Amino acid sequence: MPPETPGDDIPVARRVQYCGRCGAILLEGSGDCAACAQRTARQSANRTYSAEWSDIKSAMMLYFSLLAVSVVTIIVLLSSKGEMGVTGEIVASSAMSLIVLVWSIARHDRVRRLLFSRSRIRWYFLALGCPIATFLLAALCIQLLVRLFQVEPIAYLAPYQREGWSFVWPVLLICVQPAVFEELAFRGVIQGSIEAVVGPWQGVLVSAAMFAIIHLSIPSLPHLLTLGIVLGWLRMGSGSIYPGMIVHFLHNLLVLLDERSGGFLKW
Amino acid sequence: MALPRGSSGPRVITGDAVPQSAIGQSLVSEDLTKQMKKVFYTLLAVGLIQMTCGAILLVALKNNPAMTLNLPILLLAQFGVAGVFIVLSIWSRKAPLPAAIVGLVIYATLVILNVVNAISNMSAGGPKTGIGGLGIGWLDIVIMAVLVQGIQAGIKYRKLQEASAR
Repeated sequence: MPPETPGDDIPVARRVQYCGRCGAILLEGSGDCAACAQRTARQSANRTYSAEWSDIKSAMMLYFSLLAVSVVTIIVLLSSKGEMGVTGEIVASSAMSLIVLVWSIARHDRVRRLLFSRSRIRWYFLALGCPIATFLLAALCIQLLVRLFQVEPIAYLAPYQREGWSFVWPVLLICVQPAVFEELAFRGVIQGSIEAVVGPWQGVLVSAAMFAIIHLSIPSLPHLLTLGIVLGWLRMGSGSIYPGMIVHFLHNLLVLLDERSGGFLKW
Repeated sequence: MALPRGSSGPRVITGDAVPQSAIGQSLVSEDLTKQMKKVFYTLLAVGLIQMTCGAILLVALKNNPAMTLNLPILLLAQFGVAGVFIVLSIWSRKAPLPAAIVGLVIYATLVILNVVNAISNMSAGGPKTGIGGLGIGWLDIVIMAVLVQGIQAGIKYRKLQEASAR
């Protein structure tokens, strides 16, 4: 009897193909079967879960390592009745810088792109203007605390002046060191790790919150959080860490100059 | 003739494995959602406890002349922390994962500072607080464990959603 439709004489086994992995029937011309493609996606999701959990743990461990240095500093301050001296500050700053350096090398995948990327010039112009706004906000918050709660503002330059250190040293320890190493830590490693898990804007908020908390000063939380959000936004928008470093340096420098001059703003 | 392979034999599945059937995904998704909701209740509970402690502090120290100078700062710190946790609990309704991360960081920081304070008090001959005089209690450990579970659940939930969307 002649075949009714073309192809009817071809044996079934030659027309139907089977997936090499699971044996499910494949449609002609397709690669993996749907089940294997889904299984591959789920396996990829499993690997990514471990990597994401590792990212969050890494960010938190860096934060708690820096917190440990702060806690040891507080213990030394308490045991020396509030007089740690500039040498103690140099030791604490060096320890923090070393921790951040080691972590940045270990997580160079998060930091390398930020260090070597070129961002548009407008981000640098923005970086020059932002510190004025952040400094004004910080000064306003501190004035409110002084007037409402009779809080004594922190005198950053007092230990340096008391021990006869030149102005270069507080600029190095209070402006340059935080601008470089705190930015590497919070906007480099921590924001990079967290945003890979939760997304860019939530990464900015989480890293800004951690930046504010590490300073261990609840009254300073509002302006530190705002500064952290501004720095995180600059890093997210520019794709580089340098605009944030500029803002951080200039903000801290304005605070020091304000203290040195006896106050720019007459409240 | 090559015979199609049937389904494989028993497989060892780790705790991180994503379920492969729609029913399995739905069950795991429900479980993960419950763990993430615990983050909201935990953060809210911490905020309310801090607020209650602040109110007790206000009542107890208001009439103490020795504490008049420090009272505003203490209250600012206490109610400030309470406010932060309540804001985090509201945020966790929309985004439980970042809220849990920030909540864990803040709470662990407070616990560490409390431990340091307790140890320095104990070395100065003061009273012992917490487990072994370290200033950390069982409730602290439970709260931190719930927040860690919430973070893990948040990551797994995102991965499950990504896998089922493919």
